[in-house]
Amino acid sequence: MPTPSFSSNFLPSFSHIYVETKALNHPKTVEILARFKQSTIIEILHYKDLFNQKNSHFRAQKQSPKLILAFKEAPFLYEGSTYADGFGFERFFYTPTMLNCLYDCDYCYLQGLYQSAHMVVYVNREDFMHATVAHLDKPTLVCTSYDTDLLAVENLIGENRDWILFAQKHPHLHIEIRTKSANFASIRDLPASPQVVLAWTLSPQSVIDAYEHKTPALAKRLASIKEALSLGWQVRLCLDPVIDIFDAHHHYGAMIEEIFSVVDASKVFEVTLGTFRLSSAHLRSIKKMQHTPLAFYPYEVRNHMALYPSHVETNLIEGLSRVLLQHIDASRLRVWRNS
Amino acid sequence: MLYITTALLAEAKPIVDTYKLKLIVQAPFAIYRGENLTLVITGMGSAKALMGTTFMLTRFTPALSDVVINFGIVGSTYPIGTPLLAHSLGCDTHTYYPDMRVVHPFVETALFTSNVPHVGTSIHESVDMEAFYVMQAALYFVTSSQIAIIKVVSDNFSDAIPSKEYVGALLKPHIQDALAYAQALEASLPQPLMFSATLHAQIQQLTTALMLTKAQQDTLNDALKGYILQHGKEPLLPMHCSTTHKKEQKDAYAKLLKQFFT
Repeated sequence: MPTPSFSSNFLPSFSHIYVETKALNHPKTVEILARFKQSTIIEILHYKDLFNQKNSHFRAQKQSPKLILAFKEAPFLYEGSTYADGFGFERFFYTPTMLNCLYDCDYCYLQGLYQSAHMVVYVNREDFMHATVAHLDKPTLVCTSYDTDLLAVENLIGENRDWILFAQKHPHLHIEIRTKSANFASIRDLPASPQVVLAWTLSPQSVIDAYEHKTPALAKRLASIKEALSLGWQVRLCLDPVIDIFDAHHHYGAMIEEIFSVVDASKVFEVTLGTFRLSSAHLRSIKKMQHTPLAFYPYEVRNHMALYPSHVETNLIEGLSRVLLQHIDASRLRVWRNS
Repeated sequence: MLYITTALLAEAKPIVDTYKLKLIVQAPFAIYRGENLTLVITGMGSAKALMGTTFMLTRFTPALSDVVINFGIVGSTYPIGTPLLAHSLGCDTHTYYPDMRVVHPFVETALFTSNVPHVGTSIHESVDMEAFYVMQAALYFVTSSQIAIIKVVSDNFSDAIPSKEYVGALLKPHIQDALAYAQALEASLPQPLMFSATLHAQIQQLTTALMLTKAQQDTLNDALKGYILQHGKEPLLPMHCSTTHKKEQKDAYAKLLKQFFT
């Protein structure tokens, strides 16, 4: 047998971009493709022919994910998940303008949600915005970075910019942009908006190294947060999910001290705290991949959710709350409790 | 293991000769085998491609780390002799997309599979008579990341029937690249987690000694997989003397699990 002359050199991410026929001439498609001059463009009839292709291998595809530009049909808004915080808003929606994520976190439900690791971008974001308007007779929260990390790819698709500008015209629209990226610079030029919360997920560097593959280092995320705060943006710090690693209190405690040595606690909009949780169906799918030790933790399953045993969750939440409350007042600490 | 399908004996012959494959099945489809290589000659057309591929992959079940390639000649707009890798496989009703993950030396093409030859001209870039159906059948056995369609241009939609010698001469220079690509795909696939024979024996000893229930065995297996993924090596399981004392069994089991879940 020959010796491979090109063994396992992966093609770069987005080496191929698949474009739905219907999306081909959309201005956003043209704009996005202009940024990928080296990529091979392949026209496809419907994105699901590829994204939902029988017997896809999520972990293999994650080695070299591709971009799919598609045209979304209704519905454009979905009710927020019961596993996520609606932050007190009576109306809480999410807009799946993009499916899948540039990052590769071991605990992420996306691995269990989709068969494919390719990223779908719906180019007709004006339809998502139009659908949102119908719900804006009273304050409504829309999470725009829900099944993805939009800020991580802002330079490529410019989605956050569009939503932030859209919110300026609709005072009842409140947006949460959840991210692990260090890419605040991509929206730095926009004026800070009281309707927009930039929500950074933060983990100790040891957790980032072990389980949050391809994500920026904690120090880089903190630098982005510091800059956003200095420019008047509302910032939510999300210590969620907290992972039950060995000596978790030490690692997370040290991270909290590091955060507030960089970030001015008085300027932080709020801090959320919650331990890892996942639908048991998604956990089953992730287990099958045999990719991460996190999948094989002895979770308790309650109401179809895989959770840490109550005593583990309580121990983590109470211990870390105490540390956080040394820096912020209780009114700005939101704790997600499963038990 | 690499699994190869070709439509014609002339397409298979350069591989069979180069790697000294042995004919191990004669009918209904000829299957050749060698070290780490299995090849089936399906015959021409959709039905034979489906049946021949299914026959080989049923007879020799592929593993999660195996690769299936369809190799042969194709009509195309590209110059004769160009080696092609299909990034999409169409037929009249559907299109498949093999994963494009690994760097390769081929020209990429959209390949259309037709039951009738396209003569003179075609609206498609490249046309063959089997590839779509090879992938359709293979997807029942392997993932889209384990399939590659590699073709060499034999004509620009001519109706001339190529001689065996012509086909062999066209394909031979590209066999090494085709197989090297398949091997690169194989090497890049995430490897399934397998317990060693030693660990299996240790688990068996523990299961018997502590009279573990099915649920307890499953939990122990999970704990061991988690440990291996975390530490990159198998743990050494303690040996236990058989006991029928329920409390001793329960305590020993709890202690064992604690060892792996902390």
